[in-house]
Amino acid sequence: MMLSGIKVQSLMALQVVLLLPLWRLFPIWVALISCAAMLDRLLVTQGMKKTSSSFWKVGWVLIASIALVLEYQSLLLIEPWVALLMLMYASKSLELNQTRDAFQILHLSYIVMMAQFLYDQSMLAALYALLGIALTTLVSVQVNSARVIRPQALIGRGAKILALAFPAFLVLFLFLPRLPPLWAVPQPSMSAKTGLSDRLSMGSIGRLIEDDTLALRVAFDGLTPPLATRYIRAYTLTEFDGRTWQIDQAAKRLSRRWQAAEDQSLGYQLILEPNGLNVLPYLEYLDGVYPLGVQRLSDDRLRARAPFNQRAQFSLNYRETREVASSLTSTERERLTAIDPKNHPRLVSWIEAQAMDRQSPGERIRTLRRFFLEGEFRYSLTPPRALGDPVDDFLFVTRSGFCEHFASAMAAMARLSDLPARVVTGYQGGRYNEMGGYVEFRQYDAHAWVEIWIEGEGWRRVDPTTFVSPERINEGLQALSQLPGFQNANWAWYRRLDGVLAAEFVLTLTAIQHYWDQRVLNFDRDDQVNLVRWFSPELDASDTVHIALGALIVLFVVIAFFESLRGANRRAVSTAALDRLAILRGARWIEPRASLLATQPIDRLLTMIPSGPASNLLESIIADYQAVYYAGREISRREFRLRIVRWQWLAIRLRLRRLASPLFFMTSEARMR
Amino acid sequence: MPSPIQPVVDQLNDILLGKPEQIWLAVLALLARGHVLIEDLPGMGKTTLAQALSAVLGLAQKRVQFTVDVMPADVLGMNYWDAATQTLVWKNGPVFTEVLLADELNRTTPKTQAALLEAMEERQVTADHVTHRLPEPFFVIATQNPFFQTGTYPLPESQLDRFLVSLSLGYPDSDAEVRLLTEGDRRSRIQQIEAATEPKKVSAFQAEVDQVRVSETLADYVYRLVQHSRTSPQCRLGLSPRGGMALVTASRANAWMEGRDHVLPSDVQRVFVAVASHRLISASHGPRSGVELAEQLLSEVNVVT
Repeated sequence: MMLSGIKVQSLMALQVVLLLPLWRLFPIWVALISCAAMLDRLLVTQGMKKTSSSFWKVGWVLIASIALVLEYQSLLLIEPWVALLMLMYASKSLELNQTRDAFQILHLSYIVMMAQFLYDQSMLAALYALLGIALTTLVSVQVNSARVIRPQALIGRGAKILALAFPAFLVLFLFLPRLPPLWAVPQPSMSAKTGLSDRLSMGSIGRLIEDDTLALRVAFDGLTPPLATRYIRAYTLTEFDGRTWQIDQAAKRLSRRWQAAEDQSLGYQLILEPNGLNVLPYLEYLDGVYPLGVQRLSDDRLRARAPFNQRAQFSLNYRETREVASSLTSTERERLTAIDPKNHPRLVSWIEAQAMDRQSPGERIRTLRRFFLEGEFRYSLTPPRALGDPVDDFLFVTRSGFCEHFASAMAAMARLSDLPARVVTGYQGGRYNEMGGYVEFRQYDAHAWVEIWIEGEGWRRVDPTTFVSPERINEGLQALSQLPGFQNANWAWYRRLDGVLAAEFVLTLTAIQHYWDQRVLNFDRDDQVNLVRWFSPELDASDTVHIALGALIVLFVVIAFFESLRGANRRAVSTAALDRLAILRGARWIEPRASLLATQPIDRLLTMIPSGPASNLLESIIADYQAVYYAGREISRREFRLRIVRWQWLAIRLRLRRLASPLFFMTSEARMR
Repeated sequence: MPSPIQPVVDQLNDILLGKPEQIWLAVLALLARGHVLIEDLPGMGKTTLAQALSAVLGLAQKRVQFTVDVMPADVLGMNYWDAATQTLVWKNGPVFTEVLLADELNRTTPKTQAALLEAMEERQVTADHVTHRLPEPFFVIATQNPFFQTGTYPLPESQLDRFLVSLSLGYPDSDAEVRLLTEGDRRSRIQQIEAATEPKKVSAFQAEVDQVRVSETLADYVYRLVQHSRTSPQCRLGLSPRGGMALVTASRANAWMEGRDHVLPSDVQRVFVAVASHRLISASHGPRSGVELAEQLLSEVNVVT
């Protein structure tokens, strides 16, 4: 059957809607070539062009293939495959002549719709997919119909189909086991957002601080700890070359200890946004077990096996104080105090002037602190450029900078004072989202601080930024917006949030997004098990399969039952005929051979059912039927329908019981007689 | 719940063997204030049925044997000159009875047939501007020989319409016939019958029948049956509105006899052939007999739509 113009047009519209989010992500030529194919078909439909020649079709395919090969050159990534899918999807419109072509487009539509989830799993994307599903359903209703359907009728039918599919969707989502992928799909080469890096040279965090994208969220099981203690640790930087701090590439992997969390420790959920890094930030200090797939390194770093390219959630424990550490070996001590004094001549002379070697480690730290407190340092996001050695310049000339300058300089000072020291980068503070009940850390919450080794105590956190600008830590970054540097800085996020209302709006949005990530995207096996345990504590993970299967079977039976009811009802005109059919259907459950001609009165059914409890039931429902329709008894239609449904239910139960246990049924039947 | 008429039916079954359905229909017609047309060969027990019916119900019964020369006055009655009183005196004909057996109605001329049928319909006889009411209840059992016998005047359709039901007794089944042969004529037993009811009660029953409920759903069914008889290609002549009403009346009586106060489709179906078969004329390619045609029509209409 040839496709009518309206069908072709609606199919094209569907294709455009589904391809739009993908076109956005792909090179422009993909969109152009797909559009060319669809435009061609559209012109044919409008009668503005004769059918396309094979020459044009072959040419189109050649151009598309060549462009694909030139663009990607490799098939190891997922992009060329998605592009191929998009092109094939669009190219079907060149061959869109018959109804079966339309079906192919409709079926492909669902796959194309899923392809966008490779790139975006946000709630917005899901809403868009929902729109796509609704649209695909509507178009397929239209394609399946010979006539043009009125929009209201179309939407009504589509809504009914989707409503029928909804319970199945729910069952599949809630109970279908989350399987590991059957085959590995090359990960989309996602450009990870700028985040922390494993090196720190002065100035790099300055870029970060202007980035207001979400980095991670922490939801505490108990009370949320105060702002000043919320240090999220990511990298430990131990290697210093006088300018740049780097991680220790040779850090040893600690053997995993099965260690239960202490009583006073606080559990929390950490939801990490994809950042392309393979370090798992955690709230200091770590307590108990850390997640599988993550290694704990000797420098207190949690290293993941693969970079985080997708949002991930982890369950961790937090304690307020660090566990007591063992002592450093001499080689370790040597490495952690390694610094070339030649790079920082002014600093070396200042330290010599302080006569540090006569002081205890605690006193040395206090001396350093005093230096920062008395030195009229200024916290600024726009520090002047260093001319010579950045450490010397910062400490003795400019005295203006932000956390990374302070941390970097202080760690250098500590090392020169013969204190083992290292720089830690991560996030600090964060912002409590009341709606979501979690603390969100954005990229501008990135922070750097210093750890100094004290013999007998272990690593002690020293945050030089607090010496100079306690507001940064105690009140969060927002308080700093009063500082001169902030007025000029690219302080986009906060400026956008001028009004309280706007701020609340953004907070609400992120809370919704959080809920979505937490409850929908990260709905995993554990959640499934919790769900089935909620029904009964004895159930476990393997039961989810059974529940899913059972629920689906029940669902299909129910839908098939009502669908058959509907099919029969379509022929019937009056309620009397409907109810008659319903009674007959019930009788068929008891006695499948029972059949009633439309010209036979309903009481004829009684002769077809063997006497027993079932026939008594049937007799009473038929009496009701006759009373309603012939004796004119006043009985509400609702009540009568209810009675019929009850009758059908009883009939089904009788039938099932008979199927389940023929012997039992026979004996009970004999007893009845 | 058996109806109060059940003893009558049982007693009749005891006399006329193997004809329960016909007896049922005959009693039904009486209760519905209708008349019965029996189409059958002689000697099938028509007279026995009429006599037994009147005896059981305690009704007066008369019989007219129709021949070609029977005139209307012979049936209805006539005014005659009474020499003693010097007046015209009305003399009731045999029609003035409660149960009239009109035997071989199709042997007489249309004139006489029409006269009787008019009396049946109006339940009164008018002669010389004087109207004489017929007794209550008034019930006619007319018999008709099958058409193929010679010397008959087939009743026209308009006349047949006046009979509520038509039935045929047919040969008795083997058991009944053997009993008939061994026990001798059952008619002699009619004399010993004690009436199971009385005329007054019969009238009361008839009033009750009128109260039987006909629901909209059922009326719709009857309507569709009637409509189908008019539109079916098998039918040359369908049911008249009077035929439809007769169907409802007969169904009411059937429902009442089955002890119900409302009509069910099964009532309609039980009486339909008897009510419709003599009113229908089948098309030339249709079924041969009215009974077959009626059965076919019945099997073509859904109970509810």
